Amino acid sequence: MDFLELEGITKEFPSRSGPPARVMERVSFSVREGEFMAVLGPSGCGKSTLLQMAAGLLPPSSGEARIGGRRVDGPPPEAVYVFQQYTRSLLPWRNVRDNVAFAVEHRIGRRRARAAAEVQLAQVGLAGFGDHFPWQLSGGMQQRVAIARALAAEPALLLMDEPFSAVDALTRLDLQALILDIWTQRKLTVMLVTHDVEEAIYLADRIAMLTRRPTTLAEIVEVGLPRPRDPIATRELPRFLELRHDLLGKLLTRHAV
Amino acid sequence: MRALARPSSGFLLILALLLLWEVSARFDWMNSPNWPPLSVVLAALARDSLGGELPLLLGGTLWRMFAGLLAGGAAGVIVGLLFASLPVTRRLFGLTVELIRPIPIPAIIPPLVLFLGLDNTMKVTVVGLTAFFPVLTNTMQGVRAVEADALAMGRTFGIGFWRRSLHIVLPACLPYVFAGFRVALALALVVTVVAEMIAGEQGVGHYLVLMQFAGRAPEMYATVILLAVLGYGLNRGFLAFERRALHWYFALGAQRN
Repeated sequence: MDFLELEGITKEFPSRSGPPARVMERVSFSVREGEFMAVLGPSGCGKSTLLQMAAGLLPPSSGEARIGGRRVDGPPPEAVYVFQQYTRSLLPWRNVRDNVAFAVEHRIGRRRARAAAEVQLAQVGLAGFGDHFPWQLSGGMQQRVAIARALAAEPALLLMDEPFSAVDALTRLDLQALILDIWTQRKLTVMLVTHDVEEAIYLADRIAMLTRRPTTLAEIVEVGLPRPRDPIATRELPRFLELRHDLLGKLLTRHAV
Repeated sequence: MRALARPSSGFLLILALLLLWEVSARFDWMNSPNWPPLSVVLAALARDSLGGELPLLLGGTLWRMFAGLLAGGAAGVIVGLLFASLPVTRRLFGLTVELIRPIPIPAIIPPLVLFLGLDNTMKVTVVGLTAFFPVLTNTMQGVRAVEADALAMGRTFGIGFWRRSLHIVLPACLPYVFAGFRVALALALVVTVVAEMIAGEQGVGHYLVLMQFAGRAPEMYATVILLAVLGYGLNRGFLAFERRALHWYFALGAQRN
């Protein structure tokens, strides 16, 4: 069953001189319920813009996004957006527990939200860090806080905007393992935007490849690698290497001007 | 204390200047009856303080200053938030504000006296107007500096206007608001004393003028010293309060350096 449907999404931004700039042209694809979908494209192709339109943070110029069959018109309660820059989306004046609680305290009250926050922090491996402030933690830990906050809202759909691009390589592997664990346990639907070919192959069931601007959908690639995936063994499978060769080549051609 | 005793410490220069004052007056280098020795000035300060006269006057001055500062500052924050979040209010009232701002505040004391009299109402109003502008400007700047990701984060969790204003926008622009209040505090003390000197029979400002007319130089200088210490103490106190209230902001700043 399709859970997130993007249909004919076109985006134009007003330009100071002349007609509006069309950055995205009729992008259509769907993410099935419980699926892990990666969106891959050259930098500047509007991957994040597409994700924001799916999250209801930005209206498309034409076309529509649907979540659970309902048209997205503002941020829907089933979906949560995870930001690339955790330092900007975490609130520095709140400690870690209250940052996580922020996701739900307007719905269930501060006391219950804090209790829920402790549960989510334990889930992402940050039990006992509730009293710390975000800026006292490493980048990887801060992104864990952001993930815990997203989980606290108990979303069915996680929309992740290059969530691991600002951390070092080893921390990235940790966070990828964490997100796969959470996705499996909670039976979430995930759409993750990345420019990292290996990350897309390692995590996803399918990969939506985008072109350069004006962005269109180039193709959808079935990954077809067995699960559970292993950070080392999976990356050495012939299928992984074949996909990497193929996708990286396409990405490079599209990247070239 | 050891830092104070170092030859490079500014404290030693002050001691030397005070000593020069005492010596120059004792030997009558200024050739003027209005240049009493520091010891005589300090004796007058002690006499007036212990007699209860100066503390009472000072209390009145401080009351008017803080009443004006808080009223004007609060108005500055509210109008600043409004101007920044509802552009129509800025279009409507912005020009008026810009036209009132450049008027030297003491210049409006004479007309205000005609409407509000000589006493507290007039003085608190004048101080309030003084505090309003720096706080307004800084608050507006602060709102513009709020991270777009923090606002989008609020939206993805379905947070409404009031919660967003109180829990994201206001804390985020608080460092700017505090900077505005620090400027306003210094101005407020100046304007309170000036207002007391110009009109009415209240406070330290009036006492200062009275002592000048009476030719009582020691009391006059004692008042000036008292105001200097007061201004210094208020600023130090404010800085300490700011560091406590915005601990997260200073910690972030230290991290970036």
